[in-house]
Amino acid sequence: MPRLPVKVVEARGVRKRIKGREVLRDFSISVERGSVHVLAGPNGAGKTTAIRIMLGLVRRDAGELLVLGGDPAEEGWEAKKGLIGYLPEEAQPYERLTGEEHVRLFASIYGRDEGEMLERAREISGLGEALRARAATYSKGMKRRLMLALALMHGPELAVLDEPTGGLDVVSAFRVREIIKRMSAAGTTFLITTHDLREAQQIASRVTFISGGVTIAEGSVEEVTRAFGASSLEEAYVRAVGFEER
Amino acid sequence: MRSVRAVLWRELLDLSRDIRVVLATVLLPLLSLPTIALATGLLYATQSVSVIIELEDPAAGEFAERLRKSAEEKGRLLGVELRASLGSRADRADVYVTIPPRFAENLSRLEGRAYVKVSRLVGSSAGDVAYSAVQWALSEESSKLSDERIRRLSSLANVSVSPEAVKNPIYLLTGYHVVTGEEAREEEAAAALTARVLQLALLFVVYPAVVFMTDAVLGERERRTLEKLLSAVPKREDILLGKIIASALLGLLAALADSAAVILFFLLSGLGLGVSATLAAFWLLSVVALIFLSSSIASIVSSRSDTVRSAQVQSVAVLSVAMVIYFASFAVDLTKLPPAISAALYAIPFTHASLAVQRASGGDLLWAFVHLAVLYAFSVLFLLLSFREFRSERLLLLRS
Repeated sequence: MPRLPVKVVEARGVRKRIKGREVLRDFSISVERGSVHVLAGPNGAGKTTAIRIMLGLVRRDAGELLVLGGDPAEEGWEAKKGLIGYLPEEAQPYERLTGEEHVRLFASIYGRDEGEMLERAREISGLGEALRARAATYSKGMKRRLMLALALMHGPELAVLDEPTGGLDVVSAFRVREIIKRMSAAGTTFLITTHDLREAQQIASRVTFISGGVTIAEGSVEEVTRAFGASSLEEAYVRAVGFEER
Repeated sequence: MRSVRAVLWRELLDLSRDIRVVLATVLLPLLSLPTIALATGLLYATQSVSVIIELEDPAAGEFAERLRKSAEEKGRLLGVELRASLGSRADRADVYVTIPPRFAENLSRLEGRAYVKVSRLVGSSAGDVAYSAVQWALSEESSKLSDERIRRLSSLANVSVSPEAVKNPIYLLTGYHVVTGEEAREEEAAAALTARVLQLALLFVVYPAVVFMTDAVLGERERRTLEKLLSAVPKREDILLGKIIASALLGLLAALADSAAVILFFLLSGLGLGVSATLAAFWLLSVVALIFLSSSIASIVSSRSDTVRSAQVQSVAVLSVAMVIYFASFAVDLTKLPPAISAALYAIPFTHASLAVQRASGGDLLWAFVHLAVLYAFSVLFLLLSFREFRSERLLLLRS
C-alpha cells in the first residue's frame, strides 16, 4: 500500500487580498491525518477565505500550500476534488429536490454507486424516510444534516466543514457533533471552522487560532491551552488576541 | 460528461417542479397572444358606434336615406340616425355627417360639386370605425353619381364609353418576385410575410434564455447552493455546460410556444401566413444558435458582474439590444441600409439570426447560409468566452 502523507494540509504564509482588503496576511496551518482540526477565529478573521483557497475555489496571492499532496492552484487539482468532502457555511439544499435526489446528484458527480451512497447518507444523516421528502419541507437542522451527509457519504480523505453547527438549535448541533465524532473515529480527517471555542473544545484534537488574517497559534488542544496559561480554549483565545480588539 | 449529465438532470428536474416558470415561459404566451388577438377583434366588433346625419337641405332627403342604409350595411352594429336639421349635439355621437343647404341642387348640375361635412369624436376608436363606414358609403354614392354623369356626357357627345375607363384609366396589377427576379408564387409571398413575423418572434427566444441563465448562475449563488456544486464537480466548465444545455432546452420550448403564439396572433388578426420547409429549417437552426448565444452572453454577464443588481441591469441591456434588432427587422429591411449602419448592425450577433431568416424566405440561400455561419461562429465564440469567465472565485466573491 502507498504511504499516505502525514500532513493532509500544509499551508505557509498564505496571503489574499479581496477588493482592496487584505483578508489573509500570514496564514499558516498544518492538518494531520486522522485529526479533528479546528480553525477558530472571530467572524471576519478570514476562515472561510482560507478554506476556499485550500479547496481551490479561490486563488491565493502568495504563500505555499499543499492539500492531499497537491497544490489547489495547479493543473490537475480537479482529480483531488472527489477526495474531499466540503460543507460550505450556510450551504442550502435545492428546495424542490428530495433528499434522495440530492444523494443521487452528488453520487453521480463523484461517480459512485447510488444505492451505496443512499445507504451511507441515510446512516450519516439519520434522516430515514425524510430523505424521500423535498428539502423545502426540512427544518434547518435536517437541511444541515443532509448537507453534512452529502459532504461525507463518499468517504472523503479530508472533510472540510465551515461552521457546521452555525445557527442550529442545541439538539441539531449536538447531532452534527455526534456525526463528526463518529466519522472521526472511523478515520476521516476533519478541518472545521468555528467561532464557538466551547464547541471546538468538545470536538477538536488540534486547533489553529486565526485573527485578522494571521495565524496566531497552532497545536493540540492541550498545547494551545497550556501555551496561554488558560484552562480552556476560549480563555486561551481571549488571551491570544487580547481584549482590545473587541 | 458524467458531471454535465448530473447538472443537466438537476436543472431539468428542478425546472419541471417549478410549474410557475413553465407556465410563464411556455403556456402564458401561447395562450395570451391569441387571446389578445381574439379579444381585441371581438371587442372591436362589439363596440356600439353612433352616427347622426344632419340634413340641412330638404331636397337631399333621398340621398341622405341612401347614405344611412349604405353606412349601416358597411359598419356592423352601426347605429345611424337621420334628423332634419342641426341639433344641439348633446347626444354625443361618434360621427356627425352634415348635408348642407343646396346640396341636391349642386349635385343635379353636370358641372356641380357638393360637399358633405363629416366630424368625428376626438380620440374615439368607435369614431374611427364610424368614419370608415361613412367614408365608404359616401365614396360609393360619389362613384354612382360620377357613373351617371359619364353616361349623360357620353350620350350628349354621342360616344360610347365605359364609366370605369374614364374614372380609372390606369389601374394596378400587383405581384411579387424573388431575389433572382423571377415571379414569386403566392405561397412564397406568404412565406416572406411569415419570415417577418418569425424575425419578430426571435425576441421571444432571447428572453427566456437570458432570464433562465442569469438565474441559473446568480440565483443558485443567492440560494447558497452553488459553492457546494463548485467544490464537488471536477471541471467548472461541466457545471456551465449542464446549465447552458438546460437553458437551451427551455429556450427551445419557449421559442416554439412563443413563435406559435405570434403566428396565431397574426393569423387571428387576419394576416395570411405560410411557412416553407426551407424557412422553417433556417428559422430552427437560427433559434438553436441564438439560444446558445443568449445563454452564453447571460452567463458572461452574470460571471463578470460585481453585484447581482449590476448583472440584472446588464442582462436587461442585452435584451434591449435584441429587442431593437428584432422590432426593427419587422418594420425595416435590414439588407437595404447604408454600409456604415449595416456594418454596425453586422457586429451585433443577434442581427445575423434575423438576416438568415429573412434571406431564406426570399430564396437567397447563399446569404442565408453566410448569416447562419456567422451566427454559429458568434455562438461558439461566446460559449468559449463564457467558459473562461465562469470562475468560482468571481462567483463566490460577488456582492449581494
